Amino acid sequence: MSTSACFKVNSPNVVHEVFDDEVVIINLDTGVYYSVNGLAAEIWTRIDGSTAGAIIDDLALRYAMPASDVEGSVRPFLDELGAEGLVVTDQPGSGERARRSGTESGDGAPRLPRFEAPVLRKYSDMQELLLLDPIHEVDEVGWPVRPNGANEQRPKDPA
Amino acid sequence: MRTLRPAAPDVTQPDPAAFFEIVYGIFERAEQAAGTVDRWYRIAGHPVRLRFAGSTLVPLITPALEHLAMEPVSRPALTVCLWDVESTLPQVPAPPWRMHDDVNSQESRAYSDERIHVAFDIGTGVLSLVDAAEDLALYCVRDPRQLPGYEIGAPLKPILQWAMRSRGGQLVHAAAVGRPDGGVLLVGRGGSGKSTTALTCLGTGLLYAADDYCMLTTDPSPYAHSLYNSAKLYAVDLSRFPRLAAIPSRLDDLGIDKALLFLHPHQREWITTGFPIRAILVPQVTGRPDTSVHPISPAIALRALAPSTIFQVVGPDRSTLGVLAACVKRVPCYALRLGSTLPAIPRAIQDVLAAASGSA
Repeated sequence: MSTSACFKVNSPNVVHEVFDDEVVIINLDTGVYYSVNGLAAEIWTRIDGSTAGAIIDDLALRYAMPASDVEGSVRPFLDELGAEGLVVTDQPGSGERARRSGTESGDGAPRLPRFEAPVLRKYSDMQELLLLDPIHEVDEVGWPVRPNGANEQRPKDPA
Repeated sequence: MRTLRPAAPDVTQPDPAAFFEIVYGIFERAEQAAGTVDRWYRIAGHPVRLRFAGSTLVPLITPALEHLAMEPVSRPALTVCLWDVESTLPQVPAPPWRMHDDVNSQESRAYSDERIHVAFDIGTGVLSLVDAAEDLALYCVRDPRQLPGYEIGAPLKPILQWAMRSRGGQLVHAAAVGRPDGGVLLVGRGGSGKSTTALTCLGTGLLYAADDYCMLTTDPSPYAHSLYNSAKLYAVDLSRFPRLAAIPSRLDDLGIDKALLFLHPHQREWITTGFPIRAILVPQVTGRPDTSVHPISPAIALRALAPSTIFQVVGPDRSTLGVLAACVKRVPCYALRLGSTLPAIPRAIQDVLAAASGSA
């Protein structure tokens, strides 16, 4: 993943909701949903339109840490977001966020006490619901029907 | 009968609106042959006409809605045309969308557009179509004898979801119990304890609005609208709820499925058509005797409510998450740690409602 490529949320397949302490992210394509908080939530809320370099510089400034140290934690997280299909990259353009300047630390945002590696918590329990449909047959008209064996038992209540 | 194989898209097939017209024409033929049976229900505050071709489906579809019955009005907000292929004979032509061996409801949703919504559920054999511009819906059952208990207990879900969306309604996977002045939404995936929690409230002074599905509106404030007066539970659990013993159940009909009971008209005083939502509870089975309530963040409540609503009930949809988030952000959210002493559960909910009333 290039440092100069801009991230964007993989919309419309991915939706998210931001709370004070957590971001809930849902991949509508896969049925997997995610939760991030702390530093991971900070990264998510600034990822749209930003480059990896801008995010790392920004966090290095905010946490008063060397950019190389921040990158060691943040880069794998960004890679994971990409691998999960939650973000995609684009070439930098007019929408790119400018790198924050050194005055940002004085913007009133509290300096975090500890820098903890960002974590993407992943929940796959809904995926099975998307994969429930058995191999089926079709009737004379063309509508799918359950195979003969499956018809001997009533379908299970999905609720 | 042949096994379905992937097929290339057929560009000669009709667009969704044209397919809707074809299927509606088939309904009209069925109606001419079998006659019309009308039933009216007030659903989420809106008059809905169920227009049956023949009477076969009436006893299968209407019992769950009967607590919402109303007199006919001149202009329904939605008309649903219902028929079954088995008794009315006209066949619905093969679906015009591409299907694969692993076809599921998402395949047919992909065929929908902004105006026409299409879903085919292979589990129930039900084809549902909605023309949002005309407030007209079609509900075609392949074989009423094969209609599973979970559809009889909670019919028309895709149609109600699509039709009520433009009126601010959101179908949610949640139970709901409360008092006329306010109640709680019980959220969580299947098996989390929300249905059991709702059943423990029957006859205790807390009114029953839903055990699995209800319609949520958020303007001006969160409100739970009852859709179905049905209750479902496993046969082995019937003995835990002696208040339900006098209500006939469809257990024998349902085989391995859950027992299905209709609270209306047998216990109509236990049911409500809805209430303002004062809190959201996320049930958790603990195995301990005591029940307790603990505050949780709105994000945790959303994680309990949103995935099963989106993937299990309404289908992948971008707007649903925002509606659900608007709800969890506006009322307090709690974990409801369920104990094995059942009478303590409704008392814990009453305590939540009393606290909400005090802070309101």
